[in-house]
Amino acid sequence: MLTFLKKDVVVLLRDRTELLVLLLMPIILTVILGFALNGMFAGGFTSFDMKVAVVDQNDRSAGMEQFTEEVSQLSMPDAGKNQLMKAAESADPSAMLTNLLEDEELGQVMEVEKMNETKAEQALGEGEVTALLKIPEDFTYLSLKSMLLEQGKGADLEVVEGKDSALMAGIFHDTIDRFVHTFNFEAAVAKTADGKEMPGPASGGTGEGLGGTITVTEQEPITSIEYYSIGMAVMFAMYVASTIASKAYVENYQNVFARILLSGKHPLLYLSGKAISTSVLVFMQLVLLFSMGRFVLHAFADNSWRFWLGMLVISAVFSLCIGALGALLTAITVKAESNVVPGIFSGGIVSVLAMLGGSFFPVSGMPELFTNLGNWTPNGIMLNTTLQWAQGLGPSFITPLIVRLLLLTVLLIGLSLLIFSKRRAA
Amino acid sequence: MLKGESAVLETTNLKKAFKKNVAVSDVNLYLDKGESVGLLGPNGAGKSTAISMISSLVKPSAGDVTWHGKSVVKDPNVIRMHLGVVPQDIALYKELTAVENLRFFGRIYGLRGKELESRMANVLEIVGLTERKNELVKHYSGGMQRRVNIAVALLHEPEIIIMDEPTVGIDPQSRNYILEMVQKLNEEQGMTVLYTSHYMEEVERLCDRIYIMDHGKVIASGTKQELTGILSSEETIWLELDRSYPGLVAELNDMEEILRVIETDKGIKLITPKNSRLLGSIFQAAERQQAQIISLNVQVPTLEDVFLHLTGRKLRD
Repeated sequence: MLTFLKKDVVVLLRDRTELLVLLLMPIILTVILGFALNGMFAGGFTSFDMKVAVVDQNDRSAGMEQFTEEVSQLSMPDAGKNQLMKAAESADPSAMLTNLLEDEELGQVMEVEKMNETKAEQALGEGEVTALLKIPEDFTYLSLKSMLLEQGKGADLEVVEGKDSALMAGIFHDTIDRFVHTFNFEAAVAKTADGKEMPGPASGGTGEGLGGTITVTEQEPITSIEYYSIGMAVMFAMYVASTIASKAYVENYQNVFARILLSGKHPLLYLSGKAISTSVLVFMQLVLLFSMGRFVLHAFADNSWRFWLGMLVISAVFSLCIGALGALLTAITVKAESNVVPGIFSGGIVSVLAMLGGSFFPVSGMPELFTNLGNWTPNGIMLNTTLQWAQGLGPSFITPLIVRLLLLTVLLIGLSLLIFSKRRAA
Repeated sequence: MLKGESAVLETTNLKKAFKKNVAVSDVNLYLDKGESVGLLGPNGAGKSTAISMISSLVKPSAGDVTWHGKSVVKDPNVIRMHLGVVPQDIALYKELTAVENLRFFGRIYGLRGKELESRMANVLEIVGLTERKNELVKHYSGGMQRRVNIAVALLHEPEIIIMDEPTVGIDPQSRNYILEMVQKLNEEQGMTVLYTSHYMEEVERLCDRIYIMDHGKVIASGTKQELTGILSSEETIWLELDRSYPGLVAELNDMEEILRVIETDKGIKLITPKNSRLLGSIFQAAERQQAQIISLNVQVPTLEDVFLHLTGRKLRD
């Protein structure tokens, strides 16, 4: 096995054109995309010069009072009632909404001004504000009732859009919509967690999706260079699989494969040799690319050794998966006795997988079908895993993704064995 | 002992069909130990398919191959370790040096350490590449690449070596080197050789016995003398002319005594009954057609003539 591995590594290392493509191209593309699409990351949005009016009619203390009274009349143990009240105190929907509207990042996109209803309507009519948001008087009460008691439909937030700037008003509408969605989601999570902790105003619950920054935790957001140093590395790792398959075609065509079979070696040894060579080459490629990213482009420069250790483990699992992909492409190539499959893979399929997996841009904004497909591509899984790891999410968060990657590896190996065993027997 | 009774390798009614296309059918041949046997035929005759089946790389559609009486079709491993195959293609890693190629193939044959190093040195000596063993194969000339191709096949010291057109596309010097090498392996080391080629002179020089193949079938076999004996009642008259004379070709074709008239680039080849005393008539016909004869040669039959006689085509058509 080591003989096959050593041979494959040396053969690839001496192919300078291929090496340039596999090592230099990702770096170049990382730099180009990283700088060109910088605006998509780390708060790079320009101001839309949008102003919105907020008419806050919510009476929080009256709402809390009404909710407390309702809870006290419930036929349940006092402990449960206390827990509900605790949850109500910490949830405070109006505080969360205020927090959203006063968010620093949102402030870069729009200016929010509190007004009374008459003034706000007048400002909207005269085009001084793009939209107005009405927070109803019973907002706190209805929200808590819906969230914690599962009664009623919750409070209605009314957004009135101005006629002159539909686009900007639409953005504001979407922002509020997103708030409601996030709020409901987090309330559901909190409820599932048995009311142990409700998302408070300072928990960053309004962060995701606002201002274009991918912020999942309190970690620093990922920069565009960091994003693309991973995105391009996982994309170009797939080219190693097609390169190995192309070389297998030459081996088959020039009877080198036949010569290997004549030595009495089992054909599966050849296939597993290809899988292992691909894995090792991909791992070496990732280590080189991440090192170049770290030292040349300063990607993840502030991260700890624990982060890099995790990256090594994630990269090793991903390398196994691409090794399995290399075995599959080799099996198809040897069976078809044609170089068309690696050609199509490197010429088109890699780009499609890269797009679905988010190598070119984050896919969170794409239709659900694309996102779901991307979540099952090896590069998509690897990208998600490394992004989550980079943002400080622990092993419990990334383990399901790693398991998914391993499942995909097993599936690809199974397929390659099936196809390879059906080649013209020798 | 009868011919073939001590055969180490034998094929029986070997057939290979790819869908409806029959590439090889009813090939029966044998090789005695230490024998050098040629498989002669034009391109597309089925030689490569036949040796692929013999070497266990392609499963026959029908028939069997036996090695020391054991079926290769049932168990390919009975022959593989005893077999050295030199494919028509350069089956090497061109990005590796000769030594790296030999080391890789040696290792997959299970050779290690000093034994591997010693065998590598030995085969490099045989193919005359000791001095340039550390150069990348892609930087070698075609002839040198073919020599490494042979060296790899010899590395595990096989009992029999099968060579598929090992001199295709190389310069005369390299070709001569390879032919001498094959001759030495057979005569001095007693290696059994199955040599395929469409070059009649190579097979004539190297082989004790010859099988002639065409359209997937063996059409004749025997020693060179036995094969040319097919034409013992005929002789070949070769007329070298300054240019083409269609009128002369037509007139010669009309002569009943002449068995076959073949026009070539430089003249006309006539196959006639032996001692037919036709020279006078041929000269008269040439004079009538005002043809300029540069030379005239009465030749003894060659394998080329045998092939021509049997198929009506030249080996390199």
